[in-house]
Amino acid sequence: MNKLEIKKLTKTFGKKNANSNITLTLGNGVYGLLGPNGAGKTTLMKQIVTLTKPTSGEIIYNGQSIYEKEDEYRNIIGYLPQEFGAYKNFTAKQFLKYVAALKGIDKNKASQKIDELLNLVGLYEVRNKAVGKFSGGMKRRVGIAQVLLNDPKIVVLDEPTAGLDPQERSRFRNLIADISKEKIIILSTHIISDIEAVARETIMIKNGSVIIKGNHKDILTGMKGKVYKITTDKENEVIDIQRDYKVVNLQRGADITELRVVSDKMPLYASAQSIEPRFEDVYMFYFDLENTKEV
Amino acid sequence: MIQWELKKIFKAKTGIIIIVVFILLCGSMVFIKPELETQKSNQNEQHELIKDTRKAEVIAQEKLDIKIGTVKEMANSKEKDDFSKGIKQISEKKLKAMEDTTYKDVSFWKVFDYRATNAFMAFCMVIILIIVCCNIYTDEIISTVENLILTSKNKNRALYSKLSLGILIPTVLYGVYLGIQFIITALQYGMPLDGKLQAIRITDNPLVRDAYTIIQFIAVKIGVMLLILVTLGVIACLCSFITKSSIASTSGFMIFIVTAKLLTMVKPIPGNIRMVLESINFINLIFYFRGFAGAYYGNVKFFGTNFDLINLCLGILAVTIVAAITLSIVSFKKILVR
Repeated sequence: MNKLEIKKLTKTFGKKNANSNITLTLGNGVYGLLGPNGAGKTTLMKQIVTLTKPTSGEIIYNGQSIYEKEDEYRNIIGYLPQEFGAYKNFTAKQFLKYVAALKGIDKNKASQKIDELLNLVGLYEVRNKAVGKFSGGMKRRVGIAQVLLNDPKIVVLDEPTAGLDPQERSRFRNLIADISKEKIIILSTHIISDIEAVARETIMIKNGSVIIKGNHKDILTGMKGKVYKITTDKENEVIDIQRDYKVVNLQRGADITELRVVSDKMPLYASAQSIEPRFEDVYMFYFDLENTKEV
Repeated sequence: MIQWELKKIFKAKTGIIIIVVFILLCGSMVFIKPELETQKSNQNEQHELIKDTRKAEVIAQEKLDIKIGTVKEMANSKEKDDFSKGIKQISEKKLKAMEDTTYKDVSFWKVFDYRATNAFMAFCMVIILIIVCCNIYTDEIISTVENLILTSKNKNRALYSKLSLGILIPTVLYGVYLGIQFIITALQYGMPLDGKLQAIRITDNPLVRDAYTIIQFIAVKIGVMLLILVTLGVIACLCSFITKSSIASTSGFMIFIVTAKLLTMVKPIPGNIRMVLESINFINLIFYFRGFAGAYYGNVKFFGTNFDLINLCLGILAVTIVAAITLSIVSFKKILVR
């Protein structure tokens, strides 16, 4: 069993608190990290993978500070950064061999593992092709393969499905589900459906602080009575509702317009009726939908 | 990891550029040589080149006699200042070490010495160092592999490999260059002979800083040139570690190279500091190297103590290397994981 404890973690850049007093305890499973741009998700992940040091607070893995034996800790990390590239002139296989060397994996073992992973991510046939000639999605798959090279205990994925087509996203979700049993997987994304599909728990971050952590059922239960459907046939009313409430969805029919809104209180419209919350409502309730690229 | 670093360089376009520059450098040296001891030419008032047509041995003996005459003159100097006293001592030593005053064929050494520490060679090496070392880490940022390196188990090995390339690349390239020049010069001027004779036989200026033999003199110059190239290699790597882009890194490196030269033009700087800066600035070290290595410039006074100017400068170069390595290591621990 892996246990990653984040205690009172604060990271300051100049006068700005990118992370403020974050405390979390993570066990095996997938954790979806959700928040708008600039919320502090990437900073948190960078601290977990030792890319940047906290201003205060600590991160403890299985009872030991991660900075005590950094090299050993890095040996159990798999990290896919938000901007993942590779050497354009290297083939996929060569690049993975290089990453294997970085991760201190024995040459013979690495070669076998690389073939396995290339198969897993569907790149075996193009293993000897230069990465520079790969599409964005294929590069991303190389990125996922390099994450898994050292059979990591902690996997940190920053926007892993950005730029992937629906088929690749589905393949990726299945892959994450397959490997998540004995690992802590932290998955940051704007794509709420990805989190809904694979995450055991969701951590929502706003202005550098954790505002919600819990499983989907609990989070959705907490949203009950905060999501409403309003129907109207008056265009000026649609404008008023958009101005006064957070509108998650707007559907225009032939005569009437249906709006899905989130609100602490029952909207003052006769047609307003409480409905079952969905995960995107949660996001919208705490953040602005304009920050989500896809739902 | 060094193997991987080299693989990255040679799989990228920079590898091809380096090879081309290096081949051009080695090839062009075939045509570059100094005026041999057996040759003499002057320009007349119409700027026409007048060649001395006397026998080669006669010309060479005449040149050697003039140099020995100068050394004798220095040895008999009655001047009392520190510089003249120093020159007098060295000259006496040289005369004592001189067993034979007849000309011997030292063409190989004369040409090899010229090629081994040529300004064009140093310039090409600096270009290569800019291409390789100034981009050694910034290339990782551009290719976005930086984060993978910094979160890997062998992060430190990877970073130290990059730093060690700052020493290895100039050392290996210069070593290969010397080997090639040795062979080319031997093919053109015959095998090296009489390397144990006094170094003044191959220098135009007889004020060599000690009674060096030819081999010792060339070895000292090669050592100093290597020290300069390694210093530049390590500084270029440091610039790459502490900046975010190739342009910033190269600019930082260029600023480092020209700063000391620019400071020599600042009038309020005290004379002793300016003397050091005149000798140690990288512009002069690269383009006027012959006036630095193996020469004697007397002492310079700091805090009431006399320091041999050239030795002080060499010490500063050594300290610069150590400082650059230390700062690189600090950058691994502090700057890259800010």
